[in-house]
Amino acid sequence: MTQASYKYIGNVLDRNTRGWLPVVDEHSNKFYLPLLTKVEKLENANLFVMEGIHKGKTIAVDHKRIKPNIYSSYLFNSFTYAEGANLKLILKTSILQFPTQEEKVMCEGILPGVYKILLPDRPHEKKMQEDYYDESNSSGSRFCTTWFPIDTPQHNQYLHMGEYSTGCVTVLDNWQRIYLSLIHSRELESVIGTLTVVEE
Amino acid sequence: MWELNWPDEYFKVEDKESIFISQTFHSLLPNIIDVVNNFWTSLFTVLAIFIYRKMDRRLNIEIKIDNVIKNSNLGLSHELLQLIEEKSKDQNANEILVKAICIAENIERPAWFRKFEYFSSLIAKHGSYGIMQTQTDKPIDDKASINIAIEKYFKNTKYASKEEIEIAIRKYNNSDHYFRFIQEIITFILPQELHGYNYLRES
Repeated sequence: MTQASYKYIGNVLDRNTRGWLPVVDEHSNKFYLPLLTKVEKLENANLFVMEGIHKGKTIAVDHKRIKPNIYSSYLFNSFTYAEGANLKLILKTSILQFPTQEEKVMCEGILPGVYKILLPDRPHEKKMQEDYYDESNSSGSRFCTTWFPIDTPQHNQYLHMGEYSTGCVTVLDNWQRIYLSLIHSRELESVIGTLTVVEE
Repeated sequence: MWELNWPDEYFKVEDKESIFISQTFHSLLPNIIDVVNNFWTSLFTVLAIFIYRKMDRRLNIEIKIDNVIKNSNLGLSHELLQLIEEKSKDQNANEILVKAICIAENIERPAWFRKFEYFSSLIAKHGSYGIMQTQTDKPIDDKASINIAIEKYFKNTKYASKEEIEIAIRKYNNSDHYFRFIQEIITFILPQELHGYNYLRES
């Protein structure tokens, strides 16, 4: 019996890939995996997705959709995740508290409770304005298309950056730092951490 | 001797016409001073356009670095990327810095230009060669230029501070424009927040 060879999606921090690795599955379906997704390397150079919404799929890196190539490989051989992120949202003040910082957010439609923050599902490009990508100011980020799903009963609620909220928790500033701290955290497979929502 | 026995009037008329034609023709032709003046004006115009286009290109590089990197056929083959990564690991060099230099040199001296340099080495051997534009006494290929550049300029820069990185870049090419260009490419590859950290790297 051979030991499983786990790898991690890496080297997609540049402004071209923006935290997403283009992949293709055995049925030629094209999609993306977020940075640091755990995968298992199969014998034929294919990968088996271990977490996220594409868990259980056999995929290959779609090199044609990565231009320019800056790395010879887009996999880390090993990676040590940080502990699961614990976030607290105070609805009355619209403050989202992180262990070391707090951010002003917009939040409408989210109810008090304890929710899981999940691994990002797909790049959310449609609602992105050009200035969201502009890193010359602290509110812009190359990772603005990464939205973290919040596992609420309503579904379709995310933690993301932006300027308006339609039922999500919308961060107004410092998304780059928030993204980097969340993406390398794991509470469990597919789970980034916990969001506790309180009235005040 | 053979003589023309044509009426005088005819010649008089002909003279007037030829004078008129001659004057018209001369007025159409520029004199030598005009030719020289126009030559210099044209030369300055061509020079001005050349400088403008050159500056415009540099301006574009500064402003639209993402497009320049994306659209340029980088010529960084899988083999060369692998060599940079392995050599950087071996020499404890900052891989991102080496790649940024490589991308910059490749944009400024694309493959066709390097081929030209290689052939010009038949006349003068000393020059800058390969994808890293390494100064050598004989022509070298892309792989050799990567090996030499890493050993000579970027050894032990893996955990270098921002100041040490700047020294390494300026040692390679001591111009403000070049330094800013490299910084831009590094930031394209890696977010500003991760510069100088071995963060989110393979553990």
